[in-house]
Amino acid sequence: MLAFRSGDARAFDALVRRHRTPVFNFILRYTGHRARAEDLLQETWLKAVRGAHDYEPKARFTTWVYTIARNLCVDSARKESYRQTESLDAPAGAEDDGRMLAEVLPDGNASPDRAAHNSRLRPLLERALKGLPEEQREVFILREYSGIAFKDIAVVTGVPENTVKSRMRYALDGLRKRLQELGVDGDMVEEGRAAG
Amino acid sequence: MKQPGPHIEDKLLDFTYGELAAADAQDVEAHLKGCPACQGALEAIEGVRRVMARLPVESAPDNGLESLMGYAEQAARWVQAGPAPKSTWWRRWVIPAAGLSAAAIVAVVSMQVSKSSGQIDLASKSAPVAAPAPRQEMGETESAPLPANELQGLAGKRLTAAPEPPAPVAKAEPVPAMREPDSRPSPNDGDLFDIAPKGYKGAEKLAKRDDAPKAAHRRRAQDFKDEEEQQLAMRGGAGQDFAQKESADKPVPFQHLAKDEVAKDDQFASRSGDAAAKSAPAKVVEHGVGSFGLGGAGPGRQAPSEKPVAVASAAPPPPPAASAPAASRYQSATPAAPVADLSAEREEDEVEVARAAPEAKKKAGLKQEVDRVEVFTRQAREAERTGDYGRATAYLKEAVAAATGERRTDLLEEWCGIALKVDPSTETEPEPCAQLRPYRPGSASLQILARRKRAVLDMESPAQMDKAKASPPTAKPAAADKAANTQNGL
Repeated sequence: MLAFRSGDARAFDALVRRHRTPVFNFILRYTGHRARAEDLLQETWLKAVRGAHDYEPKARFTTWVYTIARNLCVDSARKESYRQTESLDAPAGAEDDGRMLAEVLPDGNASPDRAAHNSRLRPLLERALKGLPEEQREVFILREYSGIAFKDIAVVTGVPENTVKSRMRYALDGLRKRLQELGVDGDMVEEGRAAG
Repeated sequence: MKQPGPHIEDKLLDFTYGELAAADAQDVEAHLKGCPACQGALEAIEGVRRVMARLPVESAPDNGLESLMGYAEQAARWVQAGPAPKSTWWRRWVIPAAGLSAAAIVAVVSMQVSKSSGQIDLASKSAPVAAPAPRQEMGETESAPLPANELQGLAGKRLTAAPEPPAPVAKAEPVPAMREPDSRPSPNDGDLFDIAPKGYKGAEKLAKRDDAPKAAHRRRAQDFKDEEEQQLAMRGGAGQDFAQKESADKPVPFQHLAKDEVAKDDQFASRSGDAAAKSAPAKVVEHGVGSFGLGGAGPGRQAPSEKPVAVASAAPPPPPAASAPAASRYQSATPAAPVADLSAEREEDEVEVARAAPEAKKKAGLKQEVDRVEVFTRQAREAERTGDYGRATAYLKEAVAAATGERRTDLLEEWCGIALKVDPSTETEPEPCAQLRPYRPGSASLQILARRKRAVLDMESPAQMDKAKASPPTAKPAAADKAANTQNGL
């Protein structure tokens, strides 16, 4: 980022290519809405460009860019709370035969069996994740999927590290209970692995 | 068996995610071996993580990536180009301040230039002329003439150019009043009338009555020059006669002659010095006293150069065709009574004029006539603007008396218009209108007069009389006047 701030556009290109997908996944799992996640991803990087001159190497770039993304997600969630939004349970559209939105989402390159398994498992996981409170969900996503350390999550979320860990424990406990409710257990996961 | 110690659930998260230091991680592993509760907690954490890890990673879309990179490149170029200069407070003010100062400098310079040119023009106009005596209507009381020393001071102030060689004029009679130096300041320094010669009392009266500031007079002097030249050009038709009659002696077109006169006057204004003082009396005599007091020849004023004098002396003096009728008209067009007390002074002036060279007198008289007419006309219009119709009428009378040809007719029409404004009654035709009728029967003023008469006649017709009987008696003339005025645009 310092190289980009000094006028090196290629440095920014490298940053984008390295962090774009993790940031997008964080936003997508935070919001649960792909189109909105794409918009927020673009806005996150535009803000990074505009704020490059304000960037100070006190924290890691990852922390900085996730802070931007997280703040945008929070703002977006606040805006969405004021309007009638589609949920993951809502029908995706008339042409999707009433399938849930999570089922419509693509699933990378998977074998047909595994894809079928994932097509069953994935909405359950997303539903479990969606069922977490926002502050627990963001901590879990940042730590589990984005690989951000707890102390950096504290910086991103603006809360103490112990609070982050506490939220993480609550998130893990809540997910476990929720997954049990949904009938997702270790055996089901192992089945999926075997099918893959 | 080693006691596992207190539970380490608070370290299990860090242990699970590999954030513990190596030593702490070994301690946790040792504790877990002897603590089934912590082991169960760890398995619960890892079980959830294993399940949730099945959630696939979504690839980021490529849409918007190009525009983002383009934006980043542009930002990088801006960074490479360097920061834009900050708009400091003094930079924000420097351009307007510079513009204002430039405008102020231009304004000051132009004012100075116009002032100086106005002074030069005034001097050039006033140098060769001597003032005629005004009529009595122009001033109710006689006042002391302006001393010549004031004229000297004024002339000295206004003429700043190099001295002029003395003009060899021998016929001039000295005017003692103009030679006496006096440092007494003039109360109306800078006024056109201040520089009138000693004998011109009317100019002083007019000066006393005139309350306009000096700057206005200077401006008028500048305007006067322009209008004078225009007037000379307009008078080309009238001047043709004069030029034709003169052509036997000197084949110079009238307009050229007039322009030469103006040019000479400008030259005079640019000369000053002792020589001028010597030649000043001659100048006064040469140009006669019949002109209006535009700064008679004081010591600072200049005499005409040798060339016109030589021409004047070489050429036999034919009677000036333009000035002679003008003089007769001047006498005939104005009532005798108001100018009775001024006639003596005029006669004295005329004696002096008769002594001067006839050719110079002819040329100077033409120019002086224009000067007088213009000044009187200007004063009349100013008085009319201020609503002082009496004063305007007086000035117009003077102007009409001094003017000739078309110019006189124009002035008569102007005078007639004012007379119609002053006296809306149509019982008797105003004097200027009566004078105007033979020359310009279809003029606007006479048409207004005719309409008024018609309106009155209409009112006096039987039908109108019947209507008038029904209306209050005082309303009749008022309505007629109002109708006529509306119709005439007055």
